[in-house]
Amino acid sequence: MSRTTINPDKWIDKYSDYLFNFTLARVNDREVAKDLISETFLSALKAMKDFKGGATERTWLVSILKRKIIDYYRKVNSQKAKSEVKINYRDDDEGGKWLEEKVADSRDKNAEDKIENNELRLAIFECLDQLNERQAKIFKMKTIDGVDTETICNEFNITPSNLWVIIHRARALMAACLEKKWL
Amino acid sequence: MGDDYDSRNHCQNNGHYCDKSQYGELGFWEYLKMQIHLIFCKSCRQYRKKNKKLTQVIEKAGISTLSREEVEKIKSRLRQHPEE
Repeated sequence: MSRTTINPDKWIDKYSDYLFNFTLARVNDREVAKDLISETFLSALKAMKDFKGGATERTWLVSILKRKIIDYYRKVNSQKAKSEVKINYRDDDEGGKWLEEKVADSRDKNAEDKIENNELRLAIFECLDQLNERQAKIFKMKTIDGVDTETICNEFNITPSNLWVIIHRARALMAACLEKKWL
Repeated sequence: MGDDYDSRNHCQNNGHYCDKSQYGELGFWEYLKMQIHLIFCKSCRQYRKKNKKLTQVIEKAGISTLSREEVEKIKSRLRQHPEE
């Protein structure tokens, strides 16, 4: 397959946000998530030759990432077994919280809501894939990162009216795609 | 001047106004023009409804993104391990 000559930088630009959100939904820690993603890209790069092109690139990356997440939890669990002994329940600083309680998300959203939002996030990324690269980048900067118009225009060397035309097309495509997938 | 009342032209402008309003970048006069146009134009009302929904859905999803520096870090980490 012609896919073997891939530029890792482009790859990271394209998939890192998707993988990041996928990971965050499962480990709930930015730093850990970043590490896991880096490791995923590394493994993927090494295993490039094994990529048969049978699955999409993203599915393939996700399958590697999933293994990394499982490994991470294995490691955490073996450490937890040791640390549990040391927790002093009279210590008022921490209020005697179990590690599980510390890890638990304190936001009062119910689990179902969370799962729904995770799926929604991934659906949004899948729809972003259907835009062309430039469109997707600009839409993401404007809509998700909230970058102001001027900054985007300077970076892409376009006028504000160019920008609004691009945004308009992107929004129409995104709405249509999400309507199919989600709404 | 007849072209000014071409409804397609109006709808196109209105679409951009509508998009701008989703990002809070609509000026007062643009807002007024949009509101007037919306009174008469059903398809633009529908577009506005969809457009608002898209904004809400994306907000609701609460997507976290990596900052540029964070992405660069991952890239440089990958470069330190060149395969082949």
